[in-house]
Amino acid sequence: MAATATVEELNGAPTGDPNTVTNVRFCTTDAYNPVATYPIPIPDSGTNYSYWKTLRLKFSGSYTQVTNVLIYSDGTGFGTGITTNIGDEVGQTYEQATGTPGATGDIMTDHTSITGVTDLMTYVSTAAKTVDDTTLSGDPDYAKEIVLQMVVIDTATAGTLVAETITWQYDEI
Amino acid sequence: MSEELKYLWVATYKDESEFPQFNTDGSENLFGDIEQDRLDSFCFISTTGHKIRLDVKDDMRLICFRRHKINFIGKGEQIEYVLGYQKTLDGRNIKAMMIVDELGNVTLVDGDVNENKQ
Repeated sequence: MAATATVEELNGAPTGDPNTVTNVRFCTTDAYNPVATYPIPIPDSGTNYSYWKTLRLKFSGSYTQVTNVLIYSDGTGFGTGITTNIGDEVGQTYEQATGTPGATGDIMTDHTSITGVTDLMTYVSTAAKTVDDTTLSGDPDYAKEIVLQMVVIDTATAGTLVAETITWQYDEI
Repeated sequence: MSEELKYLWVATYKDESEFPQFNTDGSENLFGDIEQDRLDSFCFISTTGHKIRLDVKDDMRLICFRRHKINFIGKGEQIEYVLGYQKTLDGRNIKAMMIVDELGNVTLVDGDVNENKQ
């Protein structure tokens, strides 16, 4: 009748173990939602990164076709000193996030297939990021993976951030 | 996630027979199985009986899909029901669509609803 969509985060090596997302926590380890154990330290200078996160939409159940998968934000962002980037390339070969646990992740462009990044908050409902415009019909089937990373500089404010509004959109017939 | 649909479609053919999204036995017909060359009209009918109807001319190609929006963790699903047509007029590709939200609000779109993609 209608596709059931769930969001999965992939962690580990080599192909990534899928975890159904109930919370996306940017952190400094390659783990799904490690509560507050691996925060991103605010650097005295320079830049710290979260480990990059690989996410995808999973479609299952009785449905005909899904296409035109997009993602966008409300355009506001997490505040001063904090940027959330999305890899310009989508649907690339999964690659486990790397870095120094508890300190910083490696920059997303260290991912073999990611050559450029864009601030996710620049994608809004009127100018959304295309995630997958192929036709999905399997049970289950998966939209192309996206890779995200939080970037923190010295002007950021410490503490848990208020959740931001990010929207996935897809068309179903 | 998947929620109950607020609008279902019914296609009516020129001979006045109907081809509904769901048959009386609960089985579902696919939009792609509609015989567009026999179409007289196409209707969204809400669970409360609200109807939105498009009269289909011979030169129209019907467009119908559901647009889902979910939050970052896959919750809070909202569904918009998109109905429209495409036709070629004087060699130009013409599209007109309407978006119906779950409350029955209708937005008319002159052109394609997919012009927000980057």
